Order: sequence, then C-alpha cells, then structure tokens
Amino acid sequence: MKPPRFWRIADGADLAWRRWEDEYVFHHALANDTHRLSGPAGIVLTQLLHSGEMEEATLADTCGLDEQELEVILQELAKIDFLTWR
Amino acid sequence: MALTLGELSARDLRRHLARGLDLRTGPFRFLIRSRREEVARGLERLYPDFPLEVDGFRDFHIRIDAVAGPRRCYKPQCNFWHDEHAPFKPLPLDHAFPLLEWGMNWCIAGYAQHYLMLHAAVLERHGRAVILPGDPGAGKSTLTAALALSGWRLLSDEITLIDRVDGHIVPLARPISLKNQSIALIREAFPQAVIGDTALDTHKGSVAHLRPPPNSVARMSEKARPAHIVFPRWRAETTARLTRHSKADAFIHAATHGFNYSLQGRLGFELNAALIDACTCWDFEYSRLEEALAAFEELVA
Repeated sequence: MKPPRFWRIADGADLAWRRWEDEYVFHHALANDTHRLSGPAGIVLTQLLHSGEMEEATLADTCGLDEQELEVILQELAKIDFLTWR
Repeated sequence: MALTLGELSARDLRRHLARGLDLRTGPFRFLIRSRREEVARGLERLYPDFPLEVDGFRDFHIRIDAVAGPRRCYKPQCNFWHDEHAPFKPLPLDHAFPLLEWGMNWCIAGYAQHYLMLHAAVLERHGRAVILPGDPGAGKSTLTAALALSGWRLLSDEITLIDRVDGHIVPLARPISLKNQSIALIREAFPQAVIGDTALDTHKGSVAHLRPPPNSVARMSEKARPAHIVFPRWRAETTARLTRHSKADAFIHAATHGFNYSLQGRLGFELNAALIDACTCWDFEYSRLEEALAAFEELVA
C-alpha cells in the first residue's frame, strides 16, 4: 500500500484564475505562464487554493473525481509547477 | 485648432516632409522625414484628415529614404530608420509607403508598453467596439474595410490598444492594409473608397492602403467600450453566420497573438480577463460582404 501523499499549490506560484463555462484559465505569476485547463483540473486547483494542503484521497472525494483520474491531473499540474506534494 | 495634413499644399507637404512632419495618430505623435515621392503621395492621399502638431513631445522619430550606394543605379532601394537606426532590410523603392506603415506599426508594437496590445482590428458602432482577431488570410482586413466604409468607426486595422487603467480601447484610426484580391474587391464594392498606390511583390503579396473615414480620424481621441470579439473566417459559398466561441479559447488566442501580453505579467492576465469578461465571443463565417455587414449590424443593434 502506498503512503498517503499531501498536495498543495507550489511555493511562489501565486495563481490567478478565471472560469468561463466549464473551462479555466490560470496564470502562474512566478513563471509568468498562462494555461487553459479542463474543468476537473480547474476544480482541483481552486480546491487546493481554498483549503491549502490536502491528502490525495480526500481531494478525490471533495472534487468528485476517481483516484486514477485525479492522479493524471495531479501529475500534469506538478509538471507545469502548479502543484507540489510531500 | 491644429492644421491637418490635407490643408497643406502639395509643395508645402513635400517641404515639411523633407524637414520633418509632425503627425498625430491616436495617442502617438510621429515625426516623419522623407524625400521620397511615394511617401509624400501616400500621406497626401491617405492622411489628409490627420492633425499636424507644432509643439510638444514626439513619441517616434522616423525616416524613409533611398539607400545610398552603387545599387541605387540599377536596383534602387529604400529603408526605414527609427532614431537613425534601421531595424529592417532595405526594400524596393516602390515599397516605400507600405514600409512607412509597417515601420509605424513596428514602433507602436515595440515601444507602447503602457498599453495591452492585441494583434487585431477593432471597430465601433453604437458605442460598442467589436474586436476582430484573425489569422492571415481569414478576411480580417477586407471585413474591416467594408465595415469602415459602411459607417462603422475604425479604431484600428492591425493593433488593438487596451488602456491599462479602464480597459477601454484607444483608437489609432490609421489606414487599412488591403492585400491581393481584397484590393479589387473593395474597389468594386465601394467605388468611393480612396485607395493608395498598389505595391506589388511585397512579402505579403500586393498591398494597398485604404484611407480611414474622416469621422474615425476626427474621433481618434475618443475611447470605446469593448463588447464583442469576433473571429472571422472567409469561406467560399457559405451563408454568413455567427456561432459562439469559447471564452477560454478567446483568452488564449488574445494572449498568444498579443504583442506584449507576457511583458505585462499579472496585469496582462487581469486586463485580458477583464476584456473577455466584457465581451461575447463569436466565430464568424462569411463569403459575401453584404451578408457580413448585415450580421454585424444585428450584433450591435
């Protein structure tokens, strides 16, 4: 059984965002990058912005995502330095 | 009341131009110097309503002249200088006027960082500005010309300037650059249109500029509120129709086709987002100008 992972917004990311219909656009201040994200990815990010650090399973429950789907989203968001985990 | 370029006699215009002509276009003042007849003729035909200024700060000092050297005898060329620095390669002499227009765009796009700048045309009707981003060949300039010649106020053909304080659109009201088939198309549809000399074989094909409507020039210090973003696409034998375009996609398009979105950092994001919030976004397909004009009229009714 793998140990629980706790996810949070990456340090210095200073995210700003907008939602239009089911899509999100996020701005990462440190990298000065802008990304258009799917609804589920936007929900994960806004949840973490709201609650701070969250354990992966709790995050999946809160966002209404299955764990596999969440795993893909988290890895993608970590790749573009939006998220980090411990 | 400032003198307009059209109030100068042909001789005075050329004399002023040789020494330096102070031309205002929107918020910018250019000091233009040239001894080229092509430039004088272009300014005479396309900028007669623009004010000339005497005192005050000049934003850009530019010059278009022939290039010296042995080549001038068999293949004469001209170049553009900004502060006596030439950022482009020389072009054939008969491209002098388009080179002036491209050079002026280059100055604004490179230096006017106190605005958010989008690569898009923009026009206004009934107090509502419609922004037209468009990839090359999408029919943006043809549509812009047709709208400007049908009573819409031309704010800009190439660069949409967004005021960083209130998010409104700042007019430039410069001539519209027509390319290839659109030159004949506009001439035929609008016989009253004033179009300058056609420069052949430029890197954009054949290019000619359309004089902006006098009313657009007269109102070039009057900002406009953004209302719609329309992505035009000319397609043969299609009925004009507007369909909704995703706002998130419009945001990314505006950002990636902007001249200085990244340079503005977080402010650029906030300004772009406010623009998208304020606008309804559309895809627009058309093949006939009269149908396109009717669809745009309905959009701002």
